Amino acid sequence: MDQLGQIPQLVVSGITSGCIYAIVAIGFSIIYGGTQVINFAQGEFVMVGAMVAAVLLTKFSVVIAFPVAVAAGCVVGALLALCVLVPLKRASVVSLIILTVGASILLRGLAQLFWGEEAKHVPYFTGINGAEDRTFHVLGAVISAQQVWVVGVTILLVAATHLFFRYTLVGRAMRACSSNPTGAKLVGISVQKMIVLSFVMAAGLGAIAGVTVSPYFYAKCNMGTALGLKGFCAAVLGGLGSFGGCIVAGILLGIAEALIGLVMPSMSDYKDAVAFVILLIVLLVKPEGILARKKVVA
Amino acid sequence: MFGKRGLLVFVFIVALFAMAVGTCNCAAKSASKAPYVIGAILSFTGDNAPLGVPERNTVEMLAKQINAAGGVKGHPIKVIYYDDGGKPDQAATACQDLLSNRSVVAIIGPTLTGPSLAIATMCQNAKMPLISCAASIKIVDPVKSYVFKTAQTDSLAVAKLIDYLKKAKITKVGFINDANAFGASGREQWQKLSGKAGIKTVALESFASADTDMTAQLTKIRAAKPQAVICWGTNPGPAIVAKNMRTLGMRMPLLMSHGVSNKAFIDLAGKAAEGVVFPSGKIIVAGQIPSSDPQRNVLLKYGTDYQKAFKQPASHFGGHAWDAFMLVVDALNKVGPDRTKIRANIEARKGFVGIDGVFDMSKSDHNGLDKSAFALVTIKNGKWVLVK
Repeated sequence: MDQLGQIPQLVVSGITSGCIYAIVAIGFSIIYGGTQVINFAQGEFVMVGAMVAAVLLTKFSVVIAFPVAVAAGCVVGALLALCVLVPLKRASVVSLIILTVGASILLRGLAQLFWGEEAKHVPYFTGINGAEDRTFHVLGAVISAQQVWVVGVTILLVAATHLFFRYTLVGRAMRACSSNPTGAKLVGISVQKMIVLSFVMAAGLGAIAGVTVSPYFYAKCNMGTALGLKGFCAAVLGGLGSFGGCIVAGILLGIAEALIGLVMPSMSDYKDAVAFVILLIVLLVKPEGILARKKVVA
Repeated sequence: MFGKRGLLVFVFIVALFAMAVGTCNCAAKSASKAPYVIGAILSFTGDNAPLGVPERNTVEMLAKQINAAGGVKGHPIKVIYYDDGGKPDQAATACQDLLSNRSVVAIIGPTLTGPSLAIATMCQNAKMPLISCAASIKIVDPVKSYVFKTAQTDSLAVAKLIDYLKKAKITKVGFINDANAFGASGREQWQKLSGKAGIKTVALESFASADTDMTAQLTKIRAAKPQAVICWGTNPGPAIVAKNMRTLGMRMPLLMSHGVSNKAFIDLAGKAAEGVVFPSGKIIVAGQIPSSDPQRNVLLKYGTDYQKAFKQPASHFGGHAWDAFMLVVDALNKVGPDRTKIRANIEARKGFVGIDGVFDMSKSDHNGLDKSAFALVTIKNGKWVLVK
């Protein structure tokens, strides 16, 4: 097989990781939209979802483990908002961002305390006895069933989030809060409620990503750090707040990471650097994000 | 002059000092003879806790056993534990602490190569015997007179795999390693030894320790059409390599290093672990070792003791700590708590039957093991089976 022949397989694996980056990036965007805060505990929501699923899936089926893990993620998100963001709403945005860094360390520490240090095996959703995954051959690439799950869940989530913000009253209220908090308050929207809600949503999204992707590799108490940072890159690349941008940037990042080994042989262990190099370049050349139009200053 | 608060702090500090002195006196009085103190720097948190925890458990268990049997010539053994979290700087801080403690006779650990290298020179300069539990040959090559290691050197593991490949008539191999110190050292040894053995490396790849998808690297390896793949790393990376290979439909033999010689690998890789062949210390297949093996009894005793004490099977890594600790105890038994004499005793020790192998230390070899320290193991139905 020549180099070109390897590309389909690499693109498949790139899209899989890219989808996860995209979901995490959307979580960043939702919270940024509602509070102007960059929530560095976003990766930890992914970890909580994955860890709870890893524990539950040893006893229960996916049908039970999935919603419980997502609910656990939402609870963590709500607690974070209620214990940190709401009481300190007078604090500056920078202090709140630093607090989320602290919260991420706390969550990682607690996970380590309760679930231990070791990586945990998570069974495949639709594997053969949970131990071996089904595979499909498409265009010279092998696609596993779990990868189909990851992509499918991402598409569903993105569609649902989009519809929520566009067509429901609560979604519109959240958008109102993000574009003009004072105005939103004046028309009777509880900004505080919207902040908590945005954390719950972002955490839920993160947890769903965690549950869906962990069978593909594993669940571990420190898995959130890397995913969180990549998701952050995707969010900034896509122009914070733009969901479409998040998805495009996330998937591009994933594919760029997968292809780097092909372009630069024996560089594959440096693929983590790709995201950050791209981020730097984009911040220098097009700081508002790859898809964002220039904001109109009122 | 101090103010009320300053005065209170002053009183508090004085009280603390008084307490410290008081407890020292008590300890000295209550023991019949002063304890022999051994320092242990291990990674019981961090990524490599699965290595460091069994090491700490082993040392705790052995110290308890020895003290229950009356200690070393009537002196109880006291171990001071430090956790380095797998980080060289934390190991250096811990080492500094131990070096400033006059009663410490030797240091065992650290668990990993990086931290071991970080403190080797410190111990050498302070004339403190250091018995590392890490794998890399760099710890004892070039030889430093006060630095030893018990874990089997990676070149021995590579040699064991090369023997296996030759027997199976495999000449084209794809090699992939973790980019951490363990993986990089294995890669170096592989490149050095495989060429001499006439085995061609048709693809050479690596991955970062926290990577979650190795499909990209494996796709490149698959394109080079190797007859077998060797993956050199510590969990969880190799488990993902095994899983990804399954998914990609790569059915050639998969060989690994002693870095996956623990249950965690089987748990993580699941079905994909089946058939993986790797060199390992004999402890994980202790029951299958032929009775002609001089280590058999030691292995079986350690295996059952550990199982009884911690309700878990003993691991390859705990064995490194067993050897390090018992080498020090062995020396203490003969020469007492004198660092220089302990060092000389360990260096001159021949035929020490341990968990990692039979040690024949010498001036030029501070590991003292050969290829026979490894057994080739494969995984069948989620269990380790000795390859004959």
